Amino acid sequence: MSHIDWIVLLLVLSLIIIYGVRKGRGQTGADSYLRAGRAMPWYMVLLGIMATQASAITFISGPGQAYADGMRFVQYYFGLPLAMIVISAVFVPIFQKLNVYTAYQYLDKRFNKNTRLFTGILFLFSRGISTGMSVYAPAIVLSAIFGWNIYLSNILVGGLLIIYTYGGGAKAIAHTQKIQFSIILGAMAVAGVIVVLKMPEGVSFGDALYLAGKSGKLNVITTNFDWNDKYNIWSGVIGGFFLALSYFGTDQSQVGRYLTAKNTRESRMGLLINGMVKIPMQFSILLIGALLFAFYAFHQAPLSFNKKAEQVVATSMPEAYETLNREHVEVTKQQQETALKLTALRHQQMTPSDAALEEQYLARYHQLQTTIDSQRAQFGKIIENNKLPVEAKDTNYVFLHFVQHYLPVGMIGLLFAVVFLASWGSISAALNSLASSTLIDFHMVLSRKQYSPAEELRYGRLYTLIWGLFSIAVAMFATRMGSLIEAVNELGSLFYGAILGIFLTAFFLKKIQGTAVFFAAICAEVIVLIVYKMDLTGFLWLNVIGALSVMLLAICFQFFLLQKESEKA
Amino acid sequence: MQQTEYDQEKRYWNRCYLLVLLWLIVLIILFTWFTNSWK
Repeated sequence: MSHIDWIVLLLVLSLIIIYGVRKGRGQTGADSYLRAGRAMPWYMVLLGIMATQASAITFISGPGQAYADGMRFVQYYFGLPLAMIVISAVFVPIFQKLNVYTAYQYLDKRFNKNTRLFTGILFLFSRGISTGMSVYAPAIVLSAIFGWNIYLSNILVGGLLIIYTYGGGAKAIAHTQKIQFSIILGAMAVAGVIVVLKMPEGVSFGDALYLAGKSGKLNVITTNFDWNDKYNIWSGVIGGFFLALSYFGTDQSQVGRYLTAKNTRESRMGLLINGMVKIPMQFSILLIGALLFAFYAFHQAPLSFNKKAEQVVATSMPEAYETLNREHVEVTKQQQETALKLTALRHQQMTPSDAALEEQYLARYHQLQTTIDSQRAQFGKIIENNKLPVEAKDTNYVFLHFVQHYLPVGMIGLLFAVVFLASWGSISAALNSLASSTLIDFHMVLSRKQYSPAEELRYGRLYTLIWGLFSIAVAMFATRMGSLIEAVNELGSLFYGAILGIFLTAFFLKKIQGTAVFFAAICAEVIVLIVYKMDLTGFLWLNVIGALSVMLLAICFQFFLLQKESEKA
Repeated sequence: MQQTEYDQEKRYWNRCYLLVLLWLIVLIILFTWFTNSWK
């Protein structure tokens, strides 16, 4: 990276921290620190919700995911608009009316303290770990690209944001998220345009889509039903609905964002517009990945987009690497020639013989792609079989490889700033929510003392700091894994189902009481963990299983076991 | 008067929910067309 890029990167990050510190001044107590004084308009709520959900993993892994597996990942978000409707209609009015700080406070009023504490523990555990993952995911990528020490990377990604989050709380978070998300969207849009502009002369946007489509990368809708298939329209609409309902309706990191709104109207507006813009945004990010696939059909793609992995393999297994790399360069050159012939053919009037020629070229193109795929798989196997200390999968490096090698000076620094900003946006909201729940649901409930606003503020800040340090500690211990975007989502799905089940029971099953739902939730959590351990279904279905199990078991416990006991009594 | 305002507000939000639902249907139709046209 050039000096200008480093200056851009440092300048953007410093300005965000300074802006956050300035905007977060004037904190007086828990209301201002945890809910920004409930004064935010809908567009701040919208940007907060979007910036909280879209972590660095979304922007790093998204294009890589489309490059490797096509655009079908977007179906994962199809249930989101439906969830926004249910949350706006049912959840928001109740939370706003009860004037709660956390979603779990409502459970105390509806059921009992045990249910509130149990749900709070599930939340703190899953969100605490996944926030650590959100620190680790971009840190490992940055450390591989820049050669930074992983511990230092973790501190840079997870530590600097604490400066403004600690002091300014929800208000500082909301204002920085607004700027962060605007920069992210602008930079990603420019990067997408540059992918198209950097195609060879004569290769249009349509040609790029043609190549990506013929390679199966534009598979936005897949209708085949399979319990173990992660992304198809059925798991997307049904599983995605339950996941989005639990994430936006019961995860404090999101509930905390729309609790900062002025009133019910502003919360609803922010949520519903999120339901409308989220899918097109994800589609655009994945489209960048599909276009990158077409881009690398004309440009030399490396064996692995993770440069560090190539260096390690080249040093540890020089002969195997050189043979594989030589063959790879040869095959990619042949593929580039075939891709150029295919696009040239598209630009002329097609005769029947041209159509036959197109079929021939396409068959050749697919054959070469299969060879390239097997070479890349072979490279991964070298890493795995020899237990080399680098990631075998390179999904998280595809987009940043393009950024580093093909973007103009200045833009490279800005895109790496995007990685930090996206991380900070979601991590800061997570820390605020963890601190809120720890203070409101545990500290204040268990100590049973009345605190002054100044004391609330002091504890709020203390818990923010503790959770910040905890996240960095988790990141330090995180081990290697595959595509990080899935790892974080899978972790959430282990606990979200049960939490959602408790809330759905609270809202819709009015006769169910605390004891029944408490034991139902424990049993449902055990069921989800067993299903996950036995690998019986794709992770999106775990939310459905968890939520429905709680509701059904709660009905059984309430009407068959507890009813009899109360009759006896 | 209050009941009328409440009904109006309710109708307004129901229309918003319907709009979001329609938008999802439009997106799925557009994506299906997109997938099929570049197969």
